[in-house]
Amino acid sequence: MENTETGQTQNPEIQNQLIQDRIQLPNATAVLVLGIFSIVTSWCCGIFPFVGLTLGIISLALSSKAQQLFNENPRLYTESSMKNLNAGKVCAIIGLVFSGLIIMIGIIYLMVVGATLGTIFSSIPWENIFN
Amino acid sequence: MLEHLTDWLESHMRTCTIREHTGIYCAGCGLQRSVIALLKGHIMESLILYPALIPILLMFTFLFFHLVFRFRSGASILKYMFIGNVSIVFMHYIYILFFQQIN
Repeated sequence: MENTETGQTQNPEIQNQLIQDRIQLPNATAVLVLGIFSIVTSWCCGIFPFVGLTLGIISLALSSKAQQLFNENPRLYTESSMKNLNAGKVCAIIGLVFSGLIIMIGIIYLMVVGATLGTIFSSIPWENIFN
Repeated sequence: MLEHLTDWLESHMRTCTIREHTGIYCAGCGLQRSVIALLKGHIMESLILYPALIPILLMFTFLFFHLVFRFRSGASILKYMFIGNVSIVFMHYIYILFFQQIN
């Protein structure tokens, strides 16, 4: 019954046991939850895009670590946690792009306002006013 | 109890920072009013003010149940719900920027 050449067992009972013994990837649910929360916090006013950005970055970092673990030893972890991880990664990337876009728009706005104010400020004839 | 909550929320509404400083709507404008309308039970009004609120709440309930019960294809459903929500928010944002002014 057992195939000794490849070192893998062909016995279905033992294979089922092996599948049942698989553990969840660490942080898979955390990646999913953080990735989904990153979008909700990303679009709202003022400071919140930074919250979305940080959540997205944390989620991506955790997911890359877990992905490395899975690549090293794919038989050890369950398939559902891998699916969770992938979904969380997609969500985190979308949230990251969205909040990055909003932050970039904010920075461009600040630059335009700053340039305008600077032009106005430097075009005021200060010497005529004070002398 | 719920009436007290909605009254309190209505008296403590906060103006969006972006709206206050630039006069342009942000992608989250309308969310507070939408939540209050939903708490009062006006589902249609809430959908008009912020169409993505109810799908987002659905997504979070689904996330909770998925984490508890571990559905077989829950992760991919969540992914597509997420993409749908993002596109709803984006389209609504473009719509209120160009075609409509809510006060």
